[in-house]
Amino acid sequence: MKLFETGIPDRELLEGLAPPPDRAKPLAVLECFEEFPCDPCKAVCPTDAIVMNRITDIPRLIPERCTGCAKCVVACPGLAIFMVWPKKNLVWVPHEFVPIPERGEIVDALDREGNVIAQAEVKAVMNARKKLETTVVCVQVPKELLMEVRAIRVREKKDARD
Amino acid sequence: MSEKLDVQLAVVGGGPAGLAAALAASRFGLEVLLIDENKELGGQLIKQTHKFFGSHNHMASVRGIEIANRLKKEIRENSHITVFLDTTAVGYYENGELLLYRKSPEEKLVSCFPKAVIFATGARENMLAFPGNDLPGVYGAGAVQTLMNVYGVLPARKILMVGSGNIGLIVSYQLLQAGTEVAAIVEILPWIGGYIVHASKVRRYGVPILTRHTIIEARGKEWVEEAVIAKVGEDFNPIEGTEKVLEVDAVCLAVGLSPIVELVRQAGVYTPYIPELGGLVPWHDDDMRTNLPNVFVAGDLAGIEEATTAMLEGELAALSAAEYFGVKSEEIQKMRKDRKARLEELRASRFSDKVKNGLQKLAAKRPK
Amino acid sequence: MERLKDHPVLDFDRGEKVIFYFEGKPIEGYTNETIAAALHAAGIKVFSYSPKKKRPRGFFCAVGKCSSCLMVVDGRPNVRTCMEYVRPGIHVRRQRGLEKLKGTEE
Repeated sequence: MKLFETGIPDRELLEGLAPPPDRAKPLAVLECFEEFPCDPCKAVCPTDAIVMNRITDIPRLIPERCTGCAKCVVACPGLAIFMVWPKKNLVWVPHEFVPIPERGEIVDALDREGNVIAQAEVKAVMNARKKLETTVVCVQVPKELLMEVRAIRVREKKDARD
Repeated sequence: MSEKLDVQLAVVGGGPAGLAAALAASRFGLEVLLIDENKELGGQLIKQTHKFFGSHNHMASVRGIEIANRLKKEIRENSHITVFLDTTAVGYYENGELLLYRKSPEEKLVSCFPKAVIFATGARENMLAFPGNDLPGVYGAGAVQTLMNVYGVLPARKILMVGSGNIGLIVSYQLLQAGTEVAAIVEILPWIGGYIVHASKVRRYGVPILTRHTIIEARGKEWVEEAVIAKVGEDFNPIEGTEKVLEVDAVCLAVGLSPIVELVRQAGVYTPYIPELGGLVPWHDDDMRTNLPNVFVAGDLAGIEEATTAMLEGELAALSAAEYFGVKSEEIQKMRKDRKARLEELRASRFSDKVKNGLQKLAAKRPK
Repeated sequence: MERLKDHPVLDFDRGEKVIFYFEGKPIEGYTNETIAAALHAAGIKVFSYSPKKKRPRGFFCAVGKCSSCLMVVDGRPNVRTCMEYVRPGIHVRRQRGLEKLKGTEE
């Protein structure tokens, strides 16, 4: 497994995480593959869809229980949870950078290595003004990239400096 | 100009361990003097913009800066705790004198003989040996955090990060957030040192993590203009011909921390060398008692770990201090059991093997 | 370098904008900044020259522990500029080696 050398999850780790194409609701995708003490995702889940026995366990999702509320995406301290909805070609990614994009804006969609793999339209922004929370951006991407896009970059890079 | 002061319990250091210690001690009626060298309490917490891991019951998923704010508020509202900011504890002597240098509100020396002291002096950044390591622009990871997260000053335009432990990974991400380009993260080991989720975060923005690589030189006339990195072999020595020159204006070292032991050593606390805990470290038992009956330790000083464990250690040290003052309460035993269980839980993953190993070695060195 | 205007997580309370002097030249700083931070924001990275080989030194630890940022402030040598805050009108200059403490000059 290359994960521990590269920081990029191996393909076999991602197998089985993708939601079925006809799923009625978005599904959380937990890209957390290492045992260490952390459990906020389990704690915030309103439907007990995330299962851990001990705090060091790797969280496991029960898809039938997930309602796609995105609470775990916001809570995850490792920014390792995303949300995917094949029916509408949507993917939700955490975004802790300035500027925060607006709805309707076109942004660069990045894969797990930072490559720009698509231009994506922003469909929604959660926690845009709450600095202590994690901002989550929902973008529309080509279907085949739903399990590839894991970050965004705002194209017109406004200068954040003096 | 020096003045004398009557103190029951002094807590030296207002980082996570010291704040937790002061608050816990006050719960048992102790009068606490909390001393910190900075103008603001919180220690390294005030630089931690990321959300903490750990248990949701105990501030996981809360950003470090917010944890600092909550603790500071509790301290402010606590009538048993007196805070001396901008004050350096410059000496602790065998006669029990703790000498304080206060810079404000007026500059003066203050002498006190606290009946007990909890030291939570934290740690300092390690250096790495390579040519040019003294050039301006070679920074410790904590310094980079201070510049960008406390003062809002961009540390560099393009930086090389040395070390892929949690600090190296977290600070790299924070650099990206501030607008600095991270040329690469080099790691001498064959694998990433910190949590993989932190590594994945920086990879998503295109930062390469080069395992089996190290820095071999920083170059520049007056400050860093280039960094030379190379691949290392099985013996960790650079392999000739693999050198690569990176155009960067800073190099950030995240190669570990060492406990700040000067004060406890002055007092006569036994400080054996335990590499797994960061080097010289005060001997202490699992209730944070040292070989001196009225001196306790907590946090990174007691072995390099992280803020969550530091806070628990601070509370354990306060419980021991309360007992030293003769406080008898079931609450002490209850709290102790709970905090120890939480420490054990937090140390349950492979990331804590080194610390646990170090603590075992330390226990074996119990002084007679 | 420069000061950050916008940050995804932090807001900065810089305090009051003031003028102080570096090697005789006026520099803009803020009262909630250390001297080291203000100099860095002004693009000044060399804080001193080492005692023997006169090599340039900047700051390293920013927590008052490494002695790499010692400068002469208002005539006082060995001031840890990573711990000392900007005050209006102070005169800061690069330290050259181990300068004499006030009152110990020959």
